[in-house]
Amino acid sequence: MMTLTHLIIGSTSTSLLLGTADPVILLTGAIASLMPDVDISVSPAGRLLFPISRFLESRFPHRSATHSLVASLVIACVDYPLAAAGYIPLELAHAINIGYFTGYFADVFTKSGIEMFYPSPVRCVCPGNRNLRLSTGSAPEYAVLGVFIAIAFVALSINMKGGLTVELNRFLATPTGIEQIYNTKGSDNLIMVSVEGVRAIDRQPVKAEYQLVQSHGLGFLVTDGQKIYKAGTEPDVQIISQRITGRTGQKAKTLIKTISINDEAIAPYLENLQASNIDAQIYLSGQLQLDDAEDLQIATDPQQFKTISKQQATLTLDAALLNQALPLLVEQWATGQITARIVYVQ
Amino acid sequence: MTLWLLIPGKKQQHEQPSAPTPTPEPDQFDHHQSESQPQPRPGKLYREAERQRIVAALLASSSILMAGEEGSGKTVLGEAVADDLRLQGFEVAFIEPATPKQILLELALQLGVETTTLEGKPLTIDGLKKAIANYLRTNTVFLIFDDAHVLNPQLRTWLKLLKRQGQPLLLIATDPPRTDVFLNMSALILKPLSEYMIRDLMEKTALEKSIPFKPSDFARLQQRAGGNPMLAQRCVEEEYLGLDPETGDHGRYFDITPLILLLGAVFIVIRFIALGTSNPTLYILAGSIGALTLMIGKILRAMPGDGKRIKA
Repeated sequence: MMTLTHLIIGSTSTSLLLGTADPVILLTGAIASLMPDVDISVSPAGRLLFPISRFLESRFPHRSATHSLVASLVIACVDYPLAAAGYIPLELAHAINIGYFTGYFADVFTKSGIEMFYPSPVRCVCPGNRNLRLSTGSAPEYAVLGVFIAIAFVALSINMKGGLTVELNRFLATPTGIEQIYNTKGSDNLIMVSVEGVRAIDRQPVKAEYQLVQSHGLGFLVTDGQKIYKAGTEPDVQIISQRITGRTGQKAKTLIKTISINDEAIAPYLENLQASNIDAQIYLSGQLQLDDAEDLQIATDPQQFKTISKQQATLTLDAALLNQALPLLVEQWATGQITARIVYVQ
Repeated sequence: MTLWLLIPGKKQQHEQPSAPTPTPEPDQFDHHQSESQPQPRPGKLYREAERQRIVAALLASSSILMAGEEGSGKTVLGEAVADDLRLQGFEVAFIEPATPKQILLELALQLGVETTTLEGKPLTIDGLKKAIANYLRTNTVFLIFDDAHVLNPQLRTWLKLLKRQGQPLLLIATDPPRTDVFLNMSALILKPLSEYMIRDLMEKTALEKSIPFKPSDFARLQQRAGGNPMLAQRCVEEEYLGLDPETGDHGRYFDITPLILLLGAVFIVIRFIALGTSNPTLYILAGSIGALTLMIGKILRAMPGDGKRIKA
């Protein structure tokens, strides 16, 4: 098989399996795909590592020991400990192994085959008919090369948009997809949610992109920066969603801070929180027993999610924006615990 | 056809097999034997252990079947066994395939058995069989039949009778059937030579032909030999002639299409797991890849297999 074919197959497989478009990772996968041919000194890898190739070619037939699962195991035994020790990134170790494996596995489809189960001397081929297998530099090999170049373009395009899972979720437009993106990327990124549906109150059509605050029941709390809405299909939603898709947004770091209040004024805690986290988005959740609940009047807007609610002396905060909660609670004394979710957008 | 026959002397016991005794006197050899002392063949034998085992078995009046694939070195080993026995002073007949009548005539000729009746009429096949069998009852001769798998059933049955009367036989056969005389004999199956031996043989062959091969050439050619010494020599010859077929003719090729189908089945199992865990993304991905893999596997299986004929 030609060097170019190996390079393309190695990088495409790495891109597909790791869901990345990082050029360093793809280049690593591509170069690793040439490494099995180190068992012959006339190959690019053999020329690069001549002492090793000289040693190997004088002892083993071509496409035997280095084209085997044993060789893959040896490579894994070297690069994964290096990754575990922090010398190389884990993704790079994955790329080396994927590239190396695809580098020799592609040769299964050539006329010579490979000793994939070395030390067993059986030579693995596919298909069994030698006339249907690939010859180096033949027209069918160029056709295979063309197919892999096309796959590489599609894979890179998908991976630059967030990966295959994200694209598939975008296509399916189901809440499960949002959950997956939120679970995998939510700790380091803002998650942006595109909602198509209608407003629950007047059935006006809605088609907009919001920032995901958090999941809530079977739906999601989303914000446009001013107000918080619940999107989904449950009875308490403000936006009945028909299609809901997600994507990773800006880099963001999330911190959690717990505040315990024991028959004290709430305002100093919240003001301190606000002062120490300027420019951060702060969402409060929890329950407080108010000393003077009768004085607290909470206005309700049916077009917004009720983030602050009161039942007798119990105040419940559910992803309430700090700048909305603070004016209400400025004169209140309470007992209880609230959790602040602080999101720093980078 | 080559046929060597050395006759050391009379057997002491006919019915019971006994250890043969060599005849040290060269002047007792009949006219078929070379005038000079037998000499071992030049060149290295890669199956020394097998040679010793076969010689020991024959000296213990046992018969043995040597089986192996085409080109695995059975004939060379058989000739080495014959040489060894001759060096020890024994008589050996090395018989190559021919028609039954030709084989029997050649055998009779080598043994010095009359092939005509008293009236001068040629003996029939049955007559030759009887005459040779009678001769072997009273003389110690090691019979080596090369390519015994092509012998006809009647001749194989006759060999079975010879074995029953205590005649040590070495049958050399390629993939012999599990029947008659082959089933009656202990079999020694020749395994492919080690890669080290194959490389050594290729280097010697190249040296003989004065071909300046590099180690990379040997490594490339060796993948077509598959542990078969005949194919190893052929690869060198092909390179020498400027022919460079990419595929070998050895029997070590293994079609992994079933493994591709197995991979497809694994993805289908993952699809069910995704169904159980309510993960539609994984369900669609695993289902799609599984279906695609199974389809590719089916197409590969539907392709015509590798033919047995040599063609482009």
